[in-house]
Amino acid sequence: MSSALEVRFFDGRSSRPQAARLHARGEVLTIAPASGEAFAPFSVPLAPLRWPERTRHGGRLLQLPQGASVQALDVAAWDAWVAQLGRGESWVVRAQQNWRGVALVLVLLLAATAALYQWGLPWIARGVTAAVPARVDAMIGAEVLESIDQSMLAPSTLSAEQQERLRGAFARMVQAAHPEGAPGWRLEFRRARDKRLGPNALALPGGTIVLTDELVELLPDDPDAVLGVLGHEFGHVRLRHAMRQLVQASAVGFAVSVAFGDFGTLIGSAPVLLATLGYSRDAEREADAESVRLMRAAGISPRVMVLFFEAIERWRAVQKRAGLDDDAIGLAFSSHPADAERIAFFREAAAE
Amino acid sequence: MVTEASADTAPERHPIEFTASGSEYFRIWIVNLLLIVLTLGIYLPWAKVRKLKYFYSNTWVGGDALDFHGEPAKMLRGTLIAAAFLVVYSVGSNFSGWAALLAALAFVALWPALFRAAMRFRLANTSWRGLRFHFAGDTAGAYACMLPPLALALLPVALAGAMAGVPVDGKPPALSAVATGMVGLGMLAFVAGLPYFLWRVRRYQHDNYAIGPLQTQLRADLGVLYGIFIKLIGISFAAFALMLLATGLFAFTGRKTGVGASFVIVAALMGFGAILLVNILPKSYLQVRLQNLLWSTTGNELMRFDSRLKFGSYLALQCRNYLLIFLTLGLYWPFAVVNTRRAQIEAIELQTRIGLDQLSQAAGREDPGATGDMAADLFGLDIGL
Repeated sequence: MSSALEVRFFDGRSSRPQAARLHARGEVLTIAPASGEAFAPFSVPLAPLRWPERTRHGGRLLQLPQGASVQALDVAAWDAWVAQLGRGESWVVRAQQNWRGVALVLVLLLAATAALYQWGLPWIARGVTAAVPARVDAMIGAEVLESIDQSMLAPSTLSAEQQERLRGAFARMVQAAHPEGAPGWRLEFRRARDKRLGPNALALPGGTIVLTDELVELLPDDPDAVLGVLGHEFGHVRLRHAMRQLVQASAVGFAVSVAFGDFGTLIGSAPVLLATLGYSRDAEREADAESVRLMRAAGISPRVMVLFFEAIERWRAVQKRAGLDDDAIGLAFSSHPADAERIAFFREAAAE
Repeated sequence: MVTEASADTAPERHPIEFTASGSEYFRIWIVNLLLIVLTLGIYLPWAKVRKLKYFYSNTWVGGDALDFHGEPAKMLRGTLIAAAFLVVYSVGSNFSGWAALLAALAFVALWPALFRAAMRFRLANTSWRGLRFHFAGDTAGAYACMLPPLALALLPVALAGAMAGVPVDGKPPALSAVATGMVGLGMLAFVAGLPYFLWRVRRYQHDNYAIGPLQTQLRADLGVLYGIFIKLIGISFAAFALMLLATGLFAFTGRKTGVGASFVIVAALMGFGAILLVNILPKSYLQVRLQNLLWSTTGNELMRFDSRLKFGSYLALQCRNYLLIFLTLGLYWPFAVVNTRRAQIEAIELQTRIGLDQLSQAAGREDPGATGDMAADLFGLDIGL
């Protein structure tokens, strides 16, 4: 290895460049002054040097011990000279420098992200949620109830005995499905203040289930359907979905901010929203499964839920005719799975 | 203060070039992302060093590239400390009003120190022609310029939250008039003082950049900065009014013609127009005017900068960036970063009255810790380098 490389040498004390030559012999790199330069030649061991990564237009700077450095005059000559030193490049640099490697990395990245999204993050979120004391859920739930009481809900107009009857039936159903003991829950009746809320049920963090009068009145002859809906909400309570969603949303937000750095929060929020909606659909499926388990334990056929969805469909049609339904976004971005999918699920459960 | 050197010697002009390419940064970015995902974030400092080394070795000042010297293994410790702090902070602020207040206090107390540490780390690990840069700002200066705005912005909210969290005689806790007034006053003072606070922070930064014996100074006029902000408010209002008008017209015609395919296309275009008006336009305006003002007034008697970023072309660039990021579902992002950086960096010119060969620095080198720099990254603090 006798060829020398012409470089610019900086001693680390002055900004004046000095012409120099690099020689590599064995395990030693020698920096010698070109003719006319005053500094004394010196040698450093080759092994600990961190050579700059190969890039298309960037400069090549090699940092030497004690703050000195050398810089390439001619990048192509530098790369050729470093290559013949026989020091292999890391796979990272090689992958960065050709499109086939990048395509492979892109595929791996998508697979890893998908796996993380599908299994990794829910697993972590379950662990984190388990570590959060239930007190926190209750605290958040109380605040949420207070705020929706002020904006979306009004006191229930159902008779006290009707409320008690539903509460008792639901308690028996939970007891039948979980004789070993179930997480605490509380059933609250409210009337929807906004017509668009309509027949609805909400599971808040901490075990509070809010049921609207409109839902109870939707199928007056079939209280079992209401129990099916309550079973679904109980699924959210038992699996602490609200808390898990919170953890998952903040984890996704953090991941997106790492990937996209500081280029506008607007762009970062879209993937967070989509991922959260995806998790929310999974949570609804889990809650439907819990609903079926509770109904079976109480001897109710899951078929009542099929009737319930049909009733909801009729209610929506009426709303639409009245011009109240302005839900134009469609199901692609909805937080619940499509009704058809859920109806099929309950029909199948009824057939088993 | 020393006056300008004799005006008859024209300064030497050195353009600043940025030669990074979007496609190359895309490849670096993808590989970095894969490694970050596979290592669950442990790779962050390595990714950061690779990115900074790429950007710096493609930034040419007077024909010589910059270099970044941070060592990832050392920065990992900083990352872990910063991440632990972030977790404690975000979990703590979810617990209760008082915990949130404590978290806010800790945040306010630490932020300026972190900021200074980040500046010191970044500059001490940046070199040009073998000379390391240096950040000369002291801790007291950081607290003096950052504590007032941080306290004004965060403390009233946290205090009100803590007070509202305590139920009074079993009644539902309501925000007392005192708390509401306090939050309102704090916000008002914060907004009115925003340009002043920004000017203080930027002055702290630009007064303390140093290489060799040269230290810069910021001579930007506070009045000009207020002018920029007033114009910014005017632009935002005009944009908002325009958007309302367009939306109204659109809703009116939509009701008449019904929903068709062309309607959807128009709606998508309107959506982009709205983003342009309320987000891209004011943001680009502020970025361009701030950069030009701050960098054109930074320097000393031997060297100074001159920044001439053009608003029109910068705005067009940002519109294209946002549109392409959206259309490619984010894959255009590295191209957008490189484009934006090129526009910003190449608008700046260095003017010197001293030969570029004549700088020298005494031996002895500082080695500040990386915690501040990594914390700045994790908390989304932009130190503007």
